[in-house]
Amino acid sequence: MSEPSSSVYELGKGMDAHNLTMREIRSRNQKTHDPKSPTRVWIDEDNTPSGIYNSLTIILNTGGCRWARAGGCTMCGYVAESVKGGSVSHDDLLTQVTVALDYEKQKNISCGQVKIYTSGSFFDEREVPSVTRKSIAEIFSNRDRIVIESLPDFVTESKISDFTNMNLSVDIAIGLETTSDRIRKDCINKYFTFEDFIIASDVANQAGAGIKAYLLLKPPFLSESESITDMIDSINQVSPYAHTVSMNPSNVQRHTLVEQLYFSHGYRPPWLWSISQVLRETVKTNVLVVSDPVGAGSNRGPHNCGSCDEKVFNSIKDFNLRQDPSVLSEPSCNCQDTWNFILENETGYNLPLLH
Amino acid sequence: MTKYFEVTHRDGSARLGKLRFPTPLPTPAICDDFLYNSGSLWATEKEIPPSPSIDKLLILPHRGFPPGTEPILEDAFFVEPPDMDSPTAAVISPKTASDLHTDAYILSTASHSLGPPQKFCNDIIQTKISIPPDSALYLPGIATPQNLSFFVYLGIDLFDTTRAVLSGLQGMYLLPTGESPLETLDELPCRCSSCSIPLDKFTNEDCATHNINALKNELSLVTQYVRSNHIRDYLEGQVRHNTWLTAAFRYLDSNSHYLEQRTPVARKEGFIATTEDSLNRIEITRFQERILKRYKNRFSHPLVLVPCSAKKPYSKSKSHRFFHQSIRFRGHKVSISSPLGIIPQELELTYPAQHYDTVVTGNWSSDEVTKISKLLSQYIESNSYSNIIAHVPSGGYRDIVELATKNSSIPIEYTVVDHPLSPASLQNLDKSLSLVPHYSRRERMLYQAQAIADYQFGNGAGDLLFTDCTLKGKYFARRIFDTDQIATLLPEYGLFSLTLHGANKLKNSKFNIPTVTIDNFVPQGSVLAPGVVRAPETIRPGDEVLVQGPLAFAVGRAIMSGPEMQQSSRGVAIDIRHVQKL
Repeated sequence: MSEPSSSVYELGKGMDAHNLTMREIRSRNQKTHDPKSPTRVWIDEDNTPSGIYNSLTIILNTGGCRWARAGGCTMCGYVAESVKGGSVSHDDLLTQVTVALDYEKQKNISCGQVKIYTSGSFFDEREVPSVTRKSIAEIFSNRDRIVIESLPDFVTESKISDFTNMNLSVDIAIGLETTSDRIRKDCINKYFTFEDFIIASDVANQAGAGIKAYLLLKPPFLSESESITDMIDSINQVSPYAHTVSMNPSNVQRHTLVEQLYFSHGYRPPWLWSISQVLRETVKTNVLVVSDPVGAGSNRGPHNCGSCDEKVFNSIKDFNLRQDPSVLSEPSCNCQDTWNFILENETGYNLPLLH
Repeated sequence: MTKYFEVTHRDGSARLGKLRFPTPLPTPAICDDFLYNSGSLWATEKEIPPSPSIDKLLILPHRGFPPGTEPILEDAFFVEPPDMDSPTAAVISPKTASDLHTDAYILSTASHSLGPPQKFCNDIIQTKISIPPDSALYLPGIATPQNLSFFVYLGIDLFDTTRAVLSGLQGMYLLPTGESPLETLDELPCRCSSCSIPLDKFTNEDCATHNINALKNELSLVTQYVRSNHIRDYLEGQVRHNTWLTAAFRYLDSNSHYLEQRTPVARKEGFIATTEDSLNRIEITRFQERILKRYKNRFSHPLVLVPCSAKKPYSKSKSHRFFHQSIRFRGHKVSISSPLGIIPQELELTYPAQHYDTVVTGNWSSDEVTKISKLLSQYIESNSYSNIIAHVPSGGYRDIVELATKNSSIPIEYTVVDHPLSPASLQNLDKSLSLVPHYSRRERMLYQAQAIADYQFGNGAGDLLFTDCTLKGKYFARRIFDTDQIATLLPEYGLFSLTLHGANKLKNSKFNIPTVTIDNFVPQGSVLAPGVVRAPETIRPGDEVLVQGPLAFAVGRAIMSGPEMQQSSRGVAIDIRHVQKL
C-alpha cells in the first residue's frame, strides 16, 4: 500500500480529530433498528455495460460499516440506520433478503440486476459471514447481474468467485469518493488511498468482476467550483479502473459532520447545475457516468433556486439512460447567473455563499 | 508585526485606517480589487507567488473553517501561515485567531451572520481580542448597505461586494433600511446611476449594480460618521430597521466590556441621546458609575434637587440662572436628568454632562423613572445631607424623587407649586434655605476642583492633589498651584491635565493613576506604540497617564486603550505634555 503524498502531512492528527468528532456526533443518535427487515428496498432502472436493467436494490441491515463505527466518513449517516451492537445473524440476514424478494413479487417487476448495499462492506465477514454470502449468491443465481458494495480492503478473488461461479456478471461498487487522497482523507475522512482502490480493481478484474466507482460531489470544506474540478479530475483519473462512475452529489444525512455544518450555516449541498456541468464535461471519457441525486430539490439535497429544480433533475435522470448531453442544456433559469457568480466567487474563506 | 496596516482614527470600537499600498487604501474599505488569493489547502497544495505584489493583500494558503467546524478539527487542520515581507492576510476562525504576523485577518465564519446575534457578537469579539489591534479584519461575503454600519461599529475594516451582487442577481433590491424583492417595487427608490433605468427594463444585473452603489454610498456615510465621532448616534437609529441588528447591538451593550475599553473618557463632540438604547451608552453608564463610586459631596449644605436644562452647561441656562438667584450659594445643587442621571453642581462641565442632548417632552418612561430613581436613592445613601429640598415639577421628576426617598429618613421639602420658574415656586425655594449660611467662593471652587479630581482619578484624589493650594480662575479654578502649578482644568472636557508636579503627587499614591512603562528614550511630543513596554489594562483613550522609563518621567494623555498601546506596533499611544529627563 503506497503512502500518500506529503499533501496529507497531518494524516494521524487530522484522522484522530475527525474520528473523535464523528463518534461524538453519532452518539447523539438514539434510534434502534429491527434486524429482521432490510434498511430499504426499492426497484430502479440502471444503465449498465450490458444495457438498461430493472434493478432490485437492497440495503441490507448488517450492523453497519466497521469504519463508521470507528468514527468514519464526514458525510455518511448510514451507520445511524444500522442495528446497534454491530452484528446481525445469518438467519436474520436471509429473512431480510426474503423481504426484498417479496417486495419484488408484490411490485410484479422482474429484475435482471440485483444491487446489494450494506452501508458498509458486503465482503466484510464481520457484516456478512461467508456462509450467508454463499447463500445469497445462490438465491440470486437466476439473475444476469449483481452489484455488491464493499470497501477495497475486503475485495478478494474467492469472495467474488462465490458469485461468478453462479454465472452472474459481478460489479463491485466501491465508494472511492475522489481520486484525491488529500480530499478523501482531510475532507471526507475515508482511510484508504486511490492506490488501494486500484489494487482492489485489479483483484476484481482478475476474478472477472467489474468496478463501479462511487464518487462524492462536494465534500465539506470545498467550494462549489473546487468540487466540480475535483469531480471532473476524479472521473478522468478513475476511468482506466472502472466501467461506471456513479456520481453522488452530497446530501445532508443525519448525525454527521456535514449535518452539523449545515445547521450552523457552514455547508450547502451542490447545485444541480454543477451535476449537469460535470456530466456534460465528462461525457467523452471512456467510462459511463451516471448520477442519481438523493434528495434533489430539497434543502438537504442538491438543489438550485427552487423553481427549476424539477426540470434540471429530470434532465439528469434522462441523461443517465441516454447519455445524450443535449438533454442537459434544455432547462434554463435565472439562477444560472447566481450559480455562475458562486463558481467564481465562493472561496475557502467565505463558503457557503448561499444556503 | 503589521507593516502594511495602520489605524489612523478611533471612534469607540470603530476606526479609520489605511492599507499602506503604494497608493494607500483608506479603511473601512471594500477590498474586492485589492486581494490575491493563494487558495484553499483543503483541495490541493498551494504555491505562494515568488514575488508578491505590494499593491494587493496576498491571502496566504489556508484551510478555512466554516461555522459548525468542531474545535478539535480546527486544532488538527489549522495551517500556520508563513512570515512574508509583502502585505498579507491570514484566514482564521474565532478559535484559531491569534497574532500570525499578517497585516489583515479574514474570518471564515462570516456566513454565521445568519445565526444567533449573540453568537455572532461573541465570535467577533473573540476574534478582535485575539488578533493585534493594529491589524485589519476582513468579514467576507456578508456586507449589505443595511448591516455595514454595524460591522464598522464593531471594528471591522474590510468588506466586499459579494453579498450585494448575489442579492441583486436574485432580484433583491438593497437599501440601508432593508431589502425588497424587485417585483414588490412600484418605482425605484434611489437616484444612483443604475436606477435611472425604467423599472420594466431594470434587470437583476442592474439590481446588482444598484446594490453595489448603495453599499459604497453607505460606506462613505459610515466613514464620515466615524471620522466625526458620531458612529454610535447613527447606529442607534440605523439598527432599528432590522431585528437581528438591533438584537446584536443591544447584546453588545449588555456585554459592554469590549465597548467600554475602547470608549474615550472625554471628547469634544457632543452626542444625542434620543433612544431607549442611549440609556446604555458607555459614556452614560460610566458617568453614573463614577458618580456612585468616586464622587463625594464636600458641602455641609442642604441637597437641592432641580431639573436639568436643555442648554449646557446647566448653569448657563435660563432656568438654572433663576434657581441660582434663589439658592445663592446656600444649597448643594444637584440636577436630575435622563439619560445621564444625577449631576452634582461641581461636575456640570465634566464629560458628558455638557455634551449630551436629549428630547425634552416632559414625559418620562417608566424605565427612565425606575433607573434614575434608583441612582438617586443610591446617591442620597452614600452622601450625607441634613435635609433635601426638591425643586422639581410634578410628573416624572417628582415621581423619581418620591420613589428614591421612599425609605429615607432625611427630611424632604417640595418647593414647586405649579412650575419650577413661577415666582411662588422660586420664593418657596428661597425661603426653604433662609436659615442656611452661604458657602464661600473658595469653598465652591476648591470643592469643585476636588470633585473633578475624584471623578477623574478616584475617590480621595481631590484631597491629595489640592490642599493648601491657590486657585486661579473666574468662575472655576482654571489653574491650581501650591509650590508649583499642579493642574489645569480643561473647561471643554471638565477634566484636569496634570503638570509634572501634579503627576508626582499622584505617583505611587493609592490612586494608581495608570503608569505606562516605556523603553530607553526621552519622549518628544508623543510616545509611539512600539515604545510602550507595559501599559495597565485600565487605561482608556483620553485618560491622564504617567509615563516612566529609564531615561524619562512624563505625563500625557492616552490616545489608545492600555491593551491597544501594549499590543500595537504602529500609531501614537500617548500625547506627551511634560517630560522630565532622568
